[in-house]
Amino acid sequence: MESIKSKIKEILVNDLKVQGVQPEDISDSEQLFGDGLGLDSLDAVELVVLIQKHFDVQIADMDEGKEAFASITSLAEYIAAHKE
Amino acid sequence: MSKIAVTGCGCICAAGADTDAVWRAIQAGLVNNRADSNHLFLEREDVPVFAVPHLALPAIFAEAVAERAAGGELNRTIILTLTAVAEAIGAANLTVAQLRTKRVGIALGTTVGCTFNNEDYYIQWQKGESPDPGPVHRYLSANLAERVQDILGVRGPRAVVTNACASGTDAIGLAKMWLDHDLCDLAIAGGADELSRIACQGFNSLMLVSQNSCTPFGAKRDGLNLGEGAGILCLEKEAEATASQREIKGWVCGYGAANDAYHPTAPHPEGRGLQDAVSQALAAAGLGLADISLINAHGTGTPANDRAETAALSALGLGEETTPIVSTKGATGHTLGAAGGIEAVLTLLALGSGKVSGTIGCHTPDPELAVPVLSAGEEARLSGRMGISQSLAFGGGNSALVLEGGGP
Amino acid sequence: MKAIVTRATHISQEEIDLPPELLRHLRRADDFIKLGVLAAFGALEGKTAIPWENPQRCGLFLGSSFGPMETNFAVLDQIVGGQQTSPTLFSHSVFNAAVGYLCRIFNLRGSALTLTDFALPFCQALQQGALAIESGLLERCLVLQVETYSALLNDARRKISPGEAGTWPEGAVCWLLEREDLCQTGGPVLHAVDIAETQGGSYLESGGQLSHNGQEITFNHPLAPAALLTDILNSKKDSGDWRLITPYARVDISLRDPK
Repeated sequence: MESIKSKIKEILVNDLKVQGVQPEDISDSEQLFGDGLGLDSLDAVELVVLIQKHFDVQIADMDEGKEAFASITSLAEYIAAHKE
Repeated sequence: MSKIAVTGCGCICAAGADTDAVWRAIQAGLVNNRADSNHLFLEREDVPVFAVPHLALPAIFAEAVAERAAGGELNRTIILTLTAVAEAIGAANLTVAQLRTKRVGIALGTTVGCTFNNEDYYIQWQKGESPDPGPVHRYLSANLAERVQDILGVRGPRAVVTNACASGTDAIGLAKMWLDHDLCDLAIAGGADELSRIACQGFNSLMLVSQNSCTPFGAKRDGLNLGEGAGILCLEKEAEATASQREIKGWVCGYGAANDAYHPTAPHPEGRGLQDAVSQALAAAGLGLADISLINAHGTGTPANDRAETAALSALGLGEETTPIVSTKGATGHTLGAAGGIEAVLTLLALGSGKVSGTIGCHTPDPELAVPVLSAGEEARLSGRMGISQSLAFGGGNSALVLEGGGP
Repeated sequence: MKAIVTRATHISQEEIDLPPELLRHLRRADDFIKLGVLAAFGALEGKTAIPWENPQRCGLFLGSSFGPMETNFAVLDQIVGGQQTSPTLFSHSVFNAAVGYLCRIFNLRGSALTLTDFALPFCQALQQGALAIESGLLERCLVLQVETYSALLNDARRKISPGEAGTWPEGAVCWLLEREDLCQTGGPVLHAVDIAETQGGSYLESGGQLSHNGQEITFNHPLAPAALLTDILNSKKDSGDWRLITPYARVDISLRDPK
């Protein structure tokens, strides 16, 4: 689980280009959207592609995606549960 | 500003090869989409698209095209455009020879028509090979307005508007400005786009494409279907059209455009820019919303578009039991740069005939939309001849035309 | 009412240096967008939101010959490689992506259009901008040309037109036009922009000539005419008549002293 979380943080900084933070500075409970890291709906669909690419996990339904995208922890849990 | 007369319309899309055919198909509720078998979508199968089944260069342009062989073969977007142009000038009773005696403005909206997307060339180049330069020459001679200007052999202002999905509406707005300010005597304006892998993949990646036939404004809508086509208006100053005893099929009375200044792809939730664009178009026409008898909405069938669009109409003051609101994309698909052109044509036809049929695909309208829409199978008698055709685009663009129907 | 040319800026690719207040806005942006935004940032004197009333009457016209070509190819690359398309790349490859950024960052909420033409796109945008102000559609507008080309295009040029001078420099030009009665700072009046397209030029050879006050200056890349006009405007802020001649178009621009 920890390795999934740190990989997600790397994706946020390196692929989604979240500004002003390093991967290790992001806390597990950080909100991805809105007031947290400030991601938007375009980042959300990009994240779907990135998660498929890096974890081979598909998020086909954005309603499901919404819950998974709440925080680093919830996303890591979603990925862990759907891997393989 | 005087009203600008529409003396001819031309239209081609999956619903039909000319204006009459498209109009009849919409009245009959025809959905002529097909599962994509052309690999437009890489990983998804059976995604419906609205493709034009048969396309050929109109005979009246064959000679001109042959004389200009140096430009290379014409791409699909240009042939779609020329098909609608041929119909529009024919309907206006104009010959190409007559056009050449006038200052003719060409304003066309497109998205795909402006990109270099030759995959074979790209792959060879990427491998370090030396591909045949033909595709580069074709790209350099494929500026839509320039090519149409060249084939028609006319002089005058030209513009290719690449404002994504609002391009066709904006192009008609620009042409109106040119005529208002006497930059030309006559204008050919509208939009065109062909189906492309880039657009299909791109919209798919944004999770905006439905696996089924689209249901604009529907309760269970889950995205759009892509389409292709062209819609063209032949525009003239009213005095000129009257003096030439040309039949006037309608008028372009006002144009407005505004940007949401909000997000790269999503519309402002309250349709802020759309409200501004519609208000401006009405003000330019000297009208209020109460004078409007029909709204041809953008209505793509994505949850966000249809919600924002109806929110904007509600904020503008539209309420229960008032003006019919329809989308034609259930019959045409979303034709991107062509949409504004095709929908201006269809709006004029409805206003001229005094009736409009409901939104194809929308059997159960979303009860949460801020204003009611006319659903599939319904038909409304129009209370007047004034209507609005509106478009929204990526990049926050919104534009609106106030149109007046002609006819008996 | 006519338009005044209040300010004009030109920025080249080498000068891309994002100030901190733009970094967050531009985290996803390609060079095409960055150049457009930086040129506008200069024309707006370093402001990140326009200071005027009626943002609904402030807009822009962006002309380009080639658009965000490199980003188009980044999408094509994913498609021919059988990879999933990046929605960010796709949405940034759409020709008006830069216009969306400009409107959002500077709060321009009026008409904002991208115009694509190989022949002198800055002049087309300038003509439309002047018309938008004269017709009352806008009170103020930015007029831009942005060009970034691509490696594929540069290779094609070398092969097809080997005699042509080196790589075309990437960059952007931005002018601010204001309606005469609203302009506080002064500047020449944009009296007329007349465009006459001619036939027969190759767009891979982008040579031409600018005539101004009896002087003749030659240029050799698609952004050069707009950049030249900008430099002259900034060096003298004077009025006069300019004529641009290329194998594919002739443009006459008349600037007059304000009344």
